[in-house]
Amino acid sequence: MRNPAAKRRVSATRRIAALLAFLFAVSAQSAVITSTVSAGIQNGIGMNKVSDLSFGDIISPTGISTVNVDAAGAATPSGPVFLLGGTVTPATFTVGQAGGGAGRFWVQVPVSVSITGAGPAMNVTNFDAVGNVNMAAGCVSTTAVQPGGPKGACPKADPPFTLRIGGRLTVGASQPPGTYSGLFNVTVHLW
Amino acid sequence: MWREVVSIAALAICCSSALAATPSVTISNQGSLQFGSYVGAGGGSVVLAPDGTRSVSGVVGVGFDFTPALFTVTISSGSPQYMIALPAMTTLVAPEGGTMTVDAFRSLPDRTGMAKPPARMDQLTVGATLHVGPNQPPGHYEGTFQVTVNL
Repeated sequence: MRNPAAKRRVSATRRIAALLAFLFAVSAQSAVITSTVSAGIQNGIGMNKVSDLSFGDIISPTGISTVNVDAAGAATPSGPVFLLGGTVTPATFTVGQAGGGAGRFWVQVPVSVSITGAGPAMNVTNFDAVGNVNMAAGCVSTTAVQPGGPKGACPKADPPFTLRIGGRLTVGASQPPGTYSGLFNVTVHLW
Repeated sequence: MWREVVSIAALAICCSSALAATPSVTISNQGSLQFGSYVGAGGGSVVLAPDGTRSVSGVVGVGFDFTPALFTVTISSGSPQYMIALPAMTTLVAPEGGTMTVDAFRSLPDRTGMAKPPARMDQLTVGATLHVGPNQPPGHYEGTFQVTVNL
């Protein structure tokens, strides 16, 4: 026996159920979260490393040799050594100062560091900044003692300046192949 | 009457199965987006990629305390794929009153990710670009941003 009233009730129930299912689906298929983002601005001196000092790829020499990378990035071999290219860069930094200082800077580099790898350690010496714009030899020291200057030939850091540091690698006779690496510090001092 | 009972029974099956099978997605935050500290000087920008690498122009960094934001996405069942929506920009404010803009939000994975079984979880990192104005006042700047994930 047909009952039109009951049929209408069922249809209405179906619609509500379909609506509920839809609402459940929407609420569960998306999620939002809030996070914090922060940054600090300060006065004083700051320094970024842009690139590492890299001597590139070298063929193991028959006798003791050196490879010099200058602050401009040019590699010069000395002795029975062949350079294959690869990544040859001076160490590059950006030095900046803010907050009223307009002083000049001098740079402290190490005397020598050793780099290690597959064979005996190799030494990197003769770190220097020659080849930098607005920086004379008198702006660089291998000790914490201020170099000779003149101060006016050394850079200011507002706006920031780019500092490039080269060095000289000594490669042993029949140095075992492999990747050799080490760390060195560069310090900038306000004159 | 018989038709009515059948219909209601069918309705009950439909809805219980719909509720049980509806996949849900959740997101939680394990770390905030930190650009680190800078000497402002003439102003510039800092791009912090979602993989954690940083490139700086104009300003100079102090230290290495920069990190992308970290989130965990969990999907209860069904398809593991989810879509990521990031804001266009947000503003950072210092208590002293200065503001900076952060935009170009990027995520890793980019745009869509997968929370695959058995864990059904995925890690999501977010980086962005910070714009530092000329003579930006010193201070600790903070703001918020929203990440939305959709199935």
